Amino acid sequence: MRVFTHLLFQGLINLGRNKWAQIFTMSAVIFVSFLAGLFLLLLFNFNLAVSKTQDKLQYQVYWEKGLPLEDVSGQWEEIASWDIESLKTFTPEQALQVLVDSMSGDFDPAYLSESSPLPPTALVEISMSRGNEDDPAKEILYRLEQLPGVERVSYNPMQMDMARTWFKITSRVFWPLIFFMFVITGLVVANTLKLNQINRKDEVEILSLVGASPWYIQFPLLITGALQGFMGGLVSLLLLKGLHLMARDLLYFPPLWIRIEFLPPLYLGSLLAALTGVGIISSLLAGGSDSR
Amino acid sequence: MIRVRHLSHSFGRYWALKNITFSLDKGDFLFLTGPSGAGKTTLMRILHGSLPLQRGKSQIAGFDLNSMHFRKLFLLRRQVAIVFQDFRILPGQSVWDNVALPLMVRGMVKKQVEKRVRAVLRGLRLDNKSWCLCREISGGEQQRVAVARAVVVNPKVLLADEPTGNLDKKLSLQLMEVFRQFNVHGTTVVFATHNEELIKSHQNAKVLSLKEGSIIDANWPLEEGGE
Repeated sequence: MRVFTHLLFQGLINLGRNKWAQIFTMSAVIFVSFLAGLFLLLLFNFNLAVSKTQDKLQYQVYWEKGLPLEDVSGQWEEIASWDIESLKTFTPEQALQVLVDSMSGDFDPAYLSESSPLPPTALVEISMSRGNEDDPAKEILYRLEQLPGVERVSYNPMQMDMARTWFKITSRVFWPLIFFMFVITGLVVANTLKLNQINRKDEVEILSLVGASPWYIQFPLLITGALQGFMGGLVSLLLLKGLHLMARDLLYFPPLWIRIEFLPPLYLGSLLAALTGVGIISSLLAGGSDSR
Repeated sequence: MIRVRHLSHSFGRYWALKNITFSLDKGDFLFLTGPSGAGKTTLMRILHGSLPLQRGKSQIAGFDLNSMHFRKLFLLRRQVAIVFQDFRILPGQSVWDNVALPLMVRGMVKKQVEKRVRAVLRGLRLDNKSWCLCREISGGEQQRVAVARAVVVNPKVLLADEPTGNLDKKLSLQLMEVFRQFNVHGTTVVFATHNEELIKSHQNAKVLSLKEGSIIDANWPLEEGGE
């Protein structure tokens, strides 16, 4: 435990040595992770905007005319319990009223007031990125068509294709892009940290000559690398937050009305964890290169 | 304590050591001598594990270098200390910290570290420089720091690669006396030098002369053949 504490302390002390090298390393880590965070923020908000506008699909469900309203109401309740975004229901009378409201002023529906010729209908809206289903549009369509008394389910195939495309883009491109960005960040940070640690090659060599175990040599480097990654990440996120506060209403005007959201805690945590991990891995690589 | 059998080592096409065989017992003092490029440093580095064994067999302080994994070399280096001509000390750290370093890496308790470092620094007359940074002391003092760092762990074998190369005659003889003191207490010493005066100052020592990587002379019977 004493040795562990000593090595932990050594790792902290290392941050104060070779001040200029440390400052350059930290600057590189901060700027690279800031750029990575900015990229993540843009992708996240792009995804958010796309989800709000293009990710939705609507179905118009028509029941058979003359079906008891109690039966249809029961099915509406069932549909409402599904994983859907919204449900709007229309009794035949409500549907007629909507139709009348949409017609020009000289249309008189008085002769229809006794009995509406329209069937009960419902407007079901789903999100394409819901759940874990491969094709949520198909799944909901099937379930709606299977409801007893449903005569027809209509939807806009173009809207479905558009929603499917966006869903594919966001699910198949977004995460690979994020992964790619992390790899790039990792390479840059690792290279910077490694260059910094090469400066300390003499010290590592002397430690090895006097009988220090590989663990004894690597642990303080590991702590230093982890701290450099974590602190660099933290400072870059603070800068990113500052930028976000200044620019969050930049696109909040007609017709966009997009308010830029900051990264959720999961993303922030992942970014910090990834940078800390990169610091640790690069430290291990730097320490491990001195084989003899 | 040291057994070397048919040891050869090359750097590319250049053979730095050719078929070296010798043995040393506990408490022996060996002068390794020869002109520059004779192979003294190469032999030292092999014995300390800094260079891999290419041909031949070697055992030192109970460790078989042929079967030793490089990640276990630290165990060998805890028994076999080395002093280099270019010191290899940490210039930005104090004399005390440099000398305490080998004890710290062994996880020794603070009180023991203080006791041993103080004794060694006193023995090498560095006690008044304890808290000076190594870059601020003279070359001779830096060399003594390097020696102090090597002897503070009471090694079984002490390798010294021309440790007096940068010192004047008086300091060289003083340093030689330090090595002799440790040798008297049972440490096997291998001392590389081409300083004839130093060699003459230690009449009981073994002397092995190298030239162009081969043994050209020895003042004791070498065990040829063997296993």
